[in-house]
Amino acid sequence: MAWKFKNDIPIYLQIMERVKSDIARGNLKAGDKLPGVRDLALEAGVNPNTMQKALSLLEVEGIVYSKRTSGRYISEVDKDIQKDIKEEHTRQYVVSMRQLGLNDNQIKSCLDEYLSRKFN
Amino acid sequence: MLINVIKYEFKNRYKTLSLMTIIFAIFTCLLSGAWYVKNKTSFCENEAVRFFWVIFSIGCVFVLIASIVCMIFQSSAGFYKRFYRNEGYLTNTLPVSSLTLHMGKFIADLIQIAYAYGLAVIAIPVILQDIKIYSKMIDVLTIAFGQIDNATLNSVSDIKGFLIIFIVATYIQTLLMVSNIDLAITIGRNFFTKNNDLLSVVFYFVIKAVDAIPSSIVSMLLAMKQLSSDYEDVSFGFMIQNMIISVLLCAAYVVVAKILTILIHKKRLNLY
Amino acid sequence: MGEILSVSNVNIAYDKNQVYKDLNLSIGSGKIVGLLGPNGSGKTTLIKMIAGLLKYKKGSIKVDGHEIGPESKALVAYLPDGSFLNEKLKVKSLIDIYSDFFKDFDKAKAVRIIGDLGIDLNSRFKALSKGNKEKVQLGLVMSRHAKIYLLDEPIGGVDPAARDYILSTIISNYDKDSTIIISTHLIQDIENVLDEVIFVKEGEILLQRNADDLRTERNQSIDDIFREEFRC
Repeated sequence: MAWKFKNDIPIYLQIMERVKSDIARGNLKAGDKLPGVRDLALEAGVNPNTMQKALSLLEVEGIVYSKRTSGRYISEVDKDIQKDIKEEHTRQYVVSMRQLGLNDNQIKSCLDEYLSRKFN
Repeated sequence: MLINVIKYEFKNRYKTLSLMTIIFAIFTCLLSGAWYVKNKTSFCENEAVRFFWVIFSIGCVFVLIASIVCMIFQSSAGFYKRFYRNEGYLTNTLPVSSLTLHMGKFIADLIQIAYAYGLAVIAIPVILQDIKIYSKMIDVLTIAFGQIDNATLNSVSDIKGFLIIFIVATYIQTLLMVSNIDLAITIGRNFFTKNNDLLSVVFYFVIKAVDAIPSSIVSMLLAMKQLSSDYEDVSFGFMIQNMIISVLLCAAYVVVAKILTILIHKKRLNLY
Repeated sequence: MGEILSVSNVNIAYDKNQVYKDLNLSIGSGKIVGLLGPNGSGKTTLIKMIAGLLKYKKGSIKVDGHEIGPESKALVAYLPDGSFLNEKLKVKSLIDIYSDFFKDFDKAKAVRIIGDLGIDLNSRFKALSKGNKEKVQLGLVMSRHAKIYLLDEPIGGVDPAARDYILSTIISNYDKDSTIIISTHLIQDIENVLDEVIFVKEGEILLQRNADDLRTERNQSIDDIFREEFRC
């Protein structure tokens, strides 16, 4: 029912990430109306204040905008968002592989091997 | 809010009260039937039947008295349960003062005890199948007292007065017993953290002993006064006077018990 | 968004043990606060003092400016841990009792919440399943528009689905003019819902922080931070 969160990172950051992911994946499109804070908080299983903070920050970043009486909407999909998310995921992958002691070449071959296996 | 507290009390009591009333009604009818069998039929002439009749009647009377006693003690049992057990978490967080809570309970008690004795009073003519039983009782008593005490007994109204004071005295003494039990429970629960119930029982007897002191003093004073007056004035008038003073003393005790209960509850309530 | 609960220099002892000595605490309105600590740390004592069930010596506790008494009780909605209702009564009667005593009780809301659970108002409380009993109790308390909601271990001993239901109910009842204080030792299940956390250890407030701030600072979940702080 509730969204899954890792509890060692602030929840509001994770909410923002999720919204951006949804946009990047195309689940949320420009002009889509977001549910109200309370309903979203209920859906996510989080504190409404936390949800409010996440949405406000998304507004500051320009990812959502609010129309005074009708609520919040997704802004024009920024290609930058998609780029940011892809870069973030890649960064996390590289960091964890490096933590295992692999160098860049080893990382590349690991990746190639996996990808070629998958498409057999 | 006071009305709400009274409603609250009765909402919690009415099930047991109804059950006791039904039992009382059933056994009143049974006993009434038994009385009919004895008076209007010849079944009881047989020794064996008479034996069972006696056992049956005693059983019925026992149940009738027990149901009245239940109705009376339910008041304190409910108090204990509703104020100092799990339900206390609701009762003691209601937005009413200690005074209102206890006043509401007190009024509910007044009604319930009156109801219990009222049932008993109605039952007697039903069992004996004689509406005029009370007038007959008054007549009998008038004659009886007339034979003992020609000087002071003037009329039937004296006997009626005596009976009324007797009923009021019984009522107030019952009210006092309930108030004392409540006070004992309140002391046991609010001053101690262990063995509360045992200590409540102990304190009940302590309270009774304390109440007995002024009563004994008053009795002695009255007795001395009587002894020093005319012989003719003794017995009936003495009895009525004693009863009135006893009623007033009991009423005073009830007031004191209630005040103490409310104060302790207000200042010391600790529901762990 | 002002201060809704103020505890100053409160002392309370139980059975010759000093539970709290000179306790000071302030909680603002519009928050969902977690009162977290192991059993016996004093969480329930604090909750009961605010509810008016325990008397403290010295100091004062004020709910929206009111000292503990009938006025504060009208502003505080208390959900105890365990049963606190006369189970022989019908659900309808229980709703009526709340309606009679609490001006802020929303009877229509209570009827709706309980109806949504599929519970017949004419059924006796005793006849309900354990889960349903907890939900009815929660429904009655949350149907009040109180300034402070005190929930003592609301999710202990219930199945995960019931837990979700209870948390949803808590979230949907959030109001910026009131504060919900949840006392629990089951932190993992509830931390996403908390604005602020207060750690209580042996009668001392160990910390009182915004939940997300704490997570940022320590890079850990509240549950992990708790385990660290309360390690035996």
